[in-house]
Amino acid sequence: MNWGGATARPLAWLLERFEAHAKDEAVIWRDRAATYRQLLDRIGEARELLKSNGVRRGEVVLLDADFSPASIAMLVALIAEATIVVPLAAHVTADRDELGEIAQVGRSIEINDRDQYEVRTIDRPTAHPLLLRLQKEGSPGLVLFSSGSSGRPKATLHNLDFLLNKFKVERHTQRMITFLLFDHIGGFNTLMYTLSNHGCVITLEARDPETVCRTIAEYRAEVLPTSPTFLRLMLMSGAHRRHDLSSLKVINYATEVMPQAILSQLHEAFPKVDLRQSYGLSELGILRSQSRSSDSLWVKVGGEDYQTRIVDGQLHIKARSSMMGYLNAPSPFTDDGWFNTQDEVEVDGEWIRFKGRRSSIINVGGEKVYPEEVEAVILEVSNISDVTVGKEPHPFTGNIVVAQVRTREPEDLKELTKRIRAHCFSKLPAFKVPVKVRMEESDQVSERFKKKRSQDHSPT
Amino acid sequence: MASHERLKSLLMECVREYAEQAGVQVKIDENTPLLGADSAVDSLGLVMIVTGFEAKVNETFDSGIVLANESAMSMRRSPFRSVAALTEYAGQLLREAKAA
Repeated sequence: MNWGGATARPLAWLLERFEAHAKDEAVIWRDRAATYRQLLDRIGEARELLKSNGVRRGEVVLLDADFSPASIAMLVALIAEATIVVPLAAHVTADRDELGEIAQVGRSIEINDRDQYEVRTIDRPTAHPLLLRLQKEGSPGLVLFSSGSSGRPKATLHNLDFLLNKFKVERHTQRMITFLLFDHIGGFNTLMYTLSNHGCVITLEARDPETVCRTIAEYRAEVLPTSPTFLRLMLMSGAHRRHDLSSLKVINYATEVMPQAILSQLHEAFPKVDLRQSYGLSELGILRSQSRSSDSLWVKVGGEDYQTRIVDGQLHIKARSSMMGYLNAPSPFTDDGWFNTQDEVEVDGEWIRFKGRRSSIINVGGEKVYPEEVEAVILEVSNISDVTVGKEPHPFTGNIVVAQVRTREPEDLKELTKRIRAHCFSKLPAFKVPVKVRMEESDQVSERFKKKRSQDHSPT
Repeated sequence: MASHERLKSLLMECVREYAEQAGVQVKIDENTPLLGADSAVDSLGLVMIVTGFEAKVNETFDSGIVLANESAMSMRRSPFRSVAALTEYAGQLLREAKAA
């Protein structure tokens, strides 16, 4: 086993495990199960396709897809061929060309409605020093777009030899719901954990409580990794009472701060289910974590590859498997390798509790909203001269998006709100559309509002 | 006094506005579900409708009720399940506010 630098055959260990469990269910997709044998066959086809298209080791390849047997097979094939993969889920509405440009993508693979591949070549050289370094090392890579305090998403580059190392240790074989997609560090982690322990990846047709609960019941899922917002909506909808969820053993929640009231309700609704808080970042991967108890928000994070410390009430982490760096921003690491997560925590001995993140990003139901992106869209609406997008806490989704606008000519706020919303709906996914629109009355208000945004310490 | 019909028409107006802006087809009447598998309204849509309705109610009746609160969210029968249920819940909060 190679624990250090580049492996000649990345993922050979994983493919061996697939062979050993060839008859087991690997992926449930559109009400059909594919076995590890079938997945291996598809991986073989995907590798042939890469070869016939001349895709070389170290090439940067964008994989535009949601979870399906074809997309999972292609992801494994791309890693096995030591390319640098840039997964993008189909729901991502950001400018794909811009993201592709940041990651210096030279090839894109899309998966169409019939679960078939469409390969496109883009004439673009790879020039970024980090990409060149990874190519030279010969290791497979992963680019994930992460939150940043500026408007543009940051591209994090990982050496997959490091990130995938921890999966070589065998753990529980589990049937997992894939709630988060694979362009999210949590979704990627869930997928790799499940595959490396020859568990079953259960894909979802939709992410509403009814569909998720029905899928858990139908396919006897054991683990549900999800967000506090989803859990809150599920409790409200009562969907968990309409389906037999007795197969469920673990609910993992992450991506935003969990309110104690929701956790208590959840514990009451699922007394036998282990409720665990996960913690991870695109920059560092997912840490091992342990909740003090199922109804407690106190958690221990770390694991063998991670060191933690608290500075100024904020959590700092040093990870062996951290990213190589950003492709479009300066390195965030200190000289000795520490990363400030900007997550504010309370401390009780070895336990910590998350209070929120210090940044301008708005977390709406676990989805990230960059105020600048929404502001740019609102500025396209006629009669708008200025806009500042901020947030307000809301019990359904943690936060809601609020826009404060200034107009050139006086206009009725109701009419203006309608126009802004309609335009935003045509350009942005629903979670980014402002729920409230306010009219600014003077310049001072604008200044206060902006100041408030940059110093906002409320939970994300 | 806030009549049930008046509240219902305010809420239906909010659902109609949301449907128009979001470009979704919703058949709007008393039984329109706002939550769950049969609902054409997604979770963000529900947030918009509830927030809009709250603002309209408070403006119309010069009140300060909060519809999206923790106790409403933990009720066994969600007050957000349908147009009728949410109308009823808003009426109840207005009566309680007046009595307080």
